[in-house]
Amino acid sequence: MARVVVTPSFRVEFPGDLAEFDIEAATVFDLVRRLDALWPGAAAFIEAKVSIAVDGELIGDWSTSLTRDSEVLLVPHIAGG
Amino acid sequence: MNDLSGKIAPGPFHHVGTRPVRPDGVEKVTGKAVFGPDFSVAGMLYGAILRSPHAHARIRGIDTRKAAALPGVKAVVTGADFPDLESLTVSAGESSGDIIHISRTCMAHEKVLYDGHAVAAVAATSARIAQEALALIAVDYEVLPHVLDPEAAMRDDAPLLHDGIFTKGIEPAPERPSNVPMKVALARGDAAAALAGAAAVAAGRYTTEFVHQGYIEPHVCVASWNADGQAQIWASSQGHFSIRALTASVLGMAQADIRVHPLEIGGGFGGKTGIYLEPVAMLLSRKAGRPVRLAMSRGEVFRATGPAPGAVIELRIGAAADGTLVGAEIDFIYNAGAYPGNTAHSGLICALGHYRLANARITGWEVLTNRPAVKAYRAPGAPQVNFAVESALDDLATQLGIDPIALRLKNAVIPGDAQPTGVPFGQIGYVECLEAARAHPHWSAPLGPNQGRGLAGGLWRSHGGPSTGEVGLAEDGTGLVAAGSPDIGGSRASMAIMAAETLGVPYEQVRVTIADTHSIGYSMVTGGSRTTFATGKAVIEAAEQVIATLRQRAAAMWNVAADTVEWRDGTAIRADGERLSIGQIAAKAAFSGGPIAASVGLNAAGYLPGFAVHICDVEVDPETGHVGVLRYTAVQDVGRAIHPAYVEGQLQGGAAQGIGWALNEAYAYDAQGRMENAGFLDYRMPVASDLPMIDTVMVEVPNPAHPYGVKGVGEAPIVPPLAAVANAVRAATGKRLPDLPLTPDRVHAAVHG
Repeated sequence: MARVVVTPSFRVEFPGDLAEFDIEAATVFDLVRRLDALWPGAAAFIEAKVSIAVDGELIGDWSTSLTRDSEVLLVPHIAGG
Repeated sequence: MNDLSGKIAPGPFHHVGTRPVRPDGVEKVTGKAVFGPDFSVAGMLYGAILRSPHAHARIRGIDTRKAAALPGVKAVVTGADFPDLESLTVSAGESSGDIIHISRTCMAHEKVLYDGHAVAAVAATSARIAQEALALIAVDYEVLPHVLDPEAAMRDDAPLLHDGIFTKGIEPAPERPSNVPMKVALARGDAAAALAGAAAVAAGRYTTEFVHQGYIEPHVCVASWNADGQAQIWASSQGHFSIRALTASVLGMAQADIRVHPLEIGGGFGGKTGIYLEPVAMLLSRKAGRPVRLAMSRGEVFRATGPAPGAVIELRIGAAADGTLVGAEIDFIYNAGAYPGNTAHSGLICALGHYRLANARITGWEVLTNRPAVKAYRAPGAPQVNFAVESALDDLATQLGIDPIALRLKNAVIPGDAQPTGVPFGQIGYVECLEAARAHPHWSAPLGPNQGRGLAGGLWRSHGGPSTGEVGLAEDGTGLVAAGSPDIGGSRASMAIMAAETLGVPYEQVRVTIADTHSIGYSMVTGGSRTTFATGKAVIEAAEQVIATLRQRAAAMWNVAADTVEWRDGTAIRADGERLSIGQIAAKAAFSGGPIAASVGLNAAGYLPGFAVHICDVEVDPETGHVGVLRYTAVQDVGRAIHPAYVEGQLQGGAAQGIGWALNEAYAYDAQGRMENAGFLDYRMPVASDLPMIDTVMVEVPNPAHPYGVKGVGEAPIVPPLAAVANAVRAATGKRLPDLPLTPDRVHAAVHG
């Protein structure tokens, strides 16, 4: 049961009931699949606009395992120049 | 060999930290380098784009018959030639956008939303005929009321740009569309209560204007779309893979059918992370059956490409008597132009990201107006709000009688502190930068009459992301590196340094190519201060794989086990001291398993923010209000500088652009919403004679997530200059000028008002 927290600055982009929640997921891939089931289109949205941090570290590999105590932060991609 | 797996190489280094001549230098200084405007192909036609003279108008009809009939005209394109698209958020460079908005930016369909919006295009056998043809296109416009000012655009009675944009982030969800795509907010603690109890509060309302990146080379491309559906595009950009993806999405093509060739780029600074011309040139080429070149004039660059947003920022920041920050309230509005620009998030995150502050409420609004849609510009969204925050901090220091650096040091973030996103900071160096600034002779140098000194700090998050790097050996053992990241700031030199360091060979034995989209795996744009970090990691890992192969090949030649072979200084060393050079092994590669090469694709995590502290001295002429910059020092945590000269160049360039933002630059519009200063004569960027030599101090706090400790350096240096200059003007005049640019008339009025 990973704890998912959408960065407060980013909650505007997410459905209200998905701002902070617990979810069963074995990996980040699994988490995104489950989010997409809850909120159709979430996977495409996350791929385009979201960076993911697991337990305080931004990760680039969505096969990263999640545990019962994992905290997953969804933060906005920030455009660069 | 340098075993770099999972830790920072400690040094000493042979190449990292040296300043060799850049491999593309001779071609550039002798004029041989092929930039976008230099490129041509056989049979090429010349395209031109008709642009709206109106800031806001409905297109009732476009009659292109006369233009199409002009001898020499081979194709005409309007919005009707573009495929209908479903709304979809797509990655656009390091940002994202709706594919419909991206398509409409290339060519208006139902409405034009700003002066300069493309409405039609032609391709002809000469540039002169193309221009003549544009004059024959008749567009029937219904001119609509326009709005340029973001606060005016937020009003209920403002002219509406889009019928389908409803403000996200407010409750209840609005039923009417508006010019406000998004409200974003961040809150922690109780800011209002903290401010009520503060010993000192600095408050103000600050404004900044639209400013352009000011790259030298205008946008240009050549496209050739064949009858079999395959196409090629030649363009200078910050990301040829981004051009491929966006053009394919706009035109409904398979990405494999578009091969994009990167050309040398004459500056981008974020402004070349998207597309403007490519789908138009593609459609013209398909209709004409020939390659088509489209090139913007300088005026078109100003009128039709994306600058940085203007801003209105109101804030209150409070501190205890000892200088500890206790609370802040910030409300900002970013003027995004015609389409949503995604800069509000970074304004939110960068506003106070460099300070520990328990109580803060930040609210940001993104607002649409009848101006070109904003685009990334070096640390997009950060300099505007930083200008207000760092100005207010200076006011707090004055109120409390505390040294400005001491005030910032008291509150500076350190490793382990939470970022506004909730992710803790890693090995950051803001404190080290502030201490380096305090120790620099500039900070204590004497000042003369009408002179003042200002200081400001700031951060940029930087990025990692997907990159591909390849390392191969020629038959003589020299190294060939291929990267998918366009080289804007000297990355070929830094890739060669990192590959040579890893392989243990001379820098001159490694040559680097920027490969086209069919020749290497995907690489994200050169932007977000990511290339030396992310693409560098891919190149280093590929070099390590090549070393592993070289050890195996040497072992095979010696008939010993590979794990008994060491790799040091470009040489395989057997247990008894026998050696084989990289050239000797490569020469026998065909007989030991085939060519030696490795390709690594990765998604680089572990990037760290860059922190910068700038010191600026100015002299204000009380008679004219002119502000002259006398001395400037840019201090930055750069992780570890791979090629220090190019890192220093990034610091100097960012400072120069930020000084222009502070003192001179602004888009000017007439009453009809037409841009009045679409050229470098009237849009005044700093030139060499305006600026002193900008001193740099590279603070090196290495990033543990990169084998050589790299942090991104390209964007942080444009964050502090706005406030550093403004704080210096305040010190010189005693007046706080909250509206940028600090033009002579404004300064004169403040001094004598």
